[in-house]
Amino acid sequence: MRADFIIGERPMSHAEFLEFVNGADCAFRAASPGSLRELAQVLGVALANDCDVSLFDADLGMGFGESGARDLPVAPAGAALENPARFESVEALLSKLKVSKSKISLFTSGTTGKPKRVSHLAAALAGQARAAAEDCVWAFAYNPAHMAGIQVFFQILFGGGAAVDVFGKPAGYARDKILECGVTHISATPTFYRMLAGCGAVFASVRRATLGGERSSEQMCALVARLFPNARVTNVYATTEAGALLASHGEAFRIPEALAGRVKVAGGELLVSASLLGESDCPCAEGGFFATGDLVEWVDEPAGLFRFVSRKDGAINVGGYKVAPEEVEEALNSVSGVIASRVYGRRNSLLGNVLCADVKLADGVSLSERLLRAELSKRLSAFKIPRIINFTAKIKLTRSGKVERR
Amino acid sequence: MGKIALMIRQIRQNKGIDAPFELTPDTSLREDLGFDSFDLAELTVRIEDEFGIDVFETGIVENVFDICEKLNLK
Repeated sequence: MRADFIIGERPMSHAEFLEFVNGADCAFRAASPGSLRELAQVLGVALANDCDVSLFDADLGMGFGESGARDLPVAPAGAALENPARFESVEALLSKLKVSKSKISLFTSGTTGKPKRVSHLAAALAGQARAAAEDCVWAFAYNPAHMAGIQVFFQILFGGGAAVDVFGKPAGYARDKILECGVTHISATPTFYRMLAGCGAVFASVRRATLGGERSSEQMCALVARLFPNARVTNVYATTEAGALLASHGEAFRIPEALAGRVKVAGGELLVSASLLGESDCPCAEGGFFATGDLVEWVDEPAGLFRFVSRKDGAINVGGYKVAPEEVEEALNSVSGVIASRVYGRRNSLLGNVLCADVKLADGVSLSERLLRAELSKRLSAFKIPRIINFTAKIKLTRSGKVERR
Repeated sequence: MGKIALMIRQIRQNKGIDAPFELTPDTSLREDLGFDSFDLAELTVRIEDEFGIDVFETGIVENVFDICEKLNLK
């Protein structure tokens, strides 16, 4: 076992992790970890003591008080432990964490709506970690209060290896850390990779690159393959309610044998059996299936191959036409010189909505609104072309690193 | 009216129309400039960003005079 499982600016060794858990006399019932290190502290103490814990986004403004712990946010009241757990070794602690009776409550990222609570058994999430090579170095690029962040944390804690925290940092910082730490594994949103690609580097040390959290086109998968020329690229479909469900090496997915009958496509939408979900506030439709709100289209129906198109509640009504912002963003992002984009509707008395786009260009690139529209007109119907295009240095993202849709 | 003329020129140019055009208070947005509802919506957004007023919110706008009137422009 290597000494530090968190490396980089605020490292943490297994010994320090053990010391922290053994020194805690209060548990963290609700916390908003802002970094991988804080996530380790919150989950370490909660799981070691079989306490349920709710994780919130750091920007939801939870009022945390002083805890006596060194550097993490703690619920202000009702969290004292009568008989705090103590462990003799790191191995004993990890064994306990793996079988903890704690439940972890998360909140769906709410890209388009109000976040919903979902609870998972910590042991079930921990059980998904796979044994990995000791020399694995992860780039931790997801929000620590979200499902994907917890999965990567459990992977490094139980599967071995270490992680460098790049979540919420500028792309240039992430580039430097990936190169400096010799990152071998990375899992992030397409938006993260787009920003990273704008930094003009290629990362030869990466062996596995995973895309998740947002829809990825073939073009996106190809961009990731160029960024990480030695990596196996995997596109993952996951939900906060059910965790990772589907994986492929391109934009098209197939429901695996093991999930047959429990994940299905109906009415152009992906449905997931209630048996695959954690406890959640999300209502299940009749027949025990949860409607994910993710719309799909068949690539090859007899072969069971489909791709994700957009969110059901994300379409923008422009003068009676429905526009999927994802499709327009994909067209924008495919124009040479465009790094990332965000397409949204702006209320308008004539059309209901006017389609607008924020566009981030690569350094040194200059494109006019007219040129960009002309490029789009080769790929999109006229009503799908944004009427207002703002060139911006920063694309508005959610706390999970996805394009903000509200 | 100068700012409105600039906006109209930009909308025309974005559509690939570079030909000069005459703008008088009587110029009809639909008839003379060939604006469709998407162009008009774009114009309202641009006007709203500049003047803070949605000129179509309180009724139909036919020509340049209507816009100037709603914006209290001479």
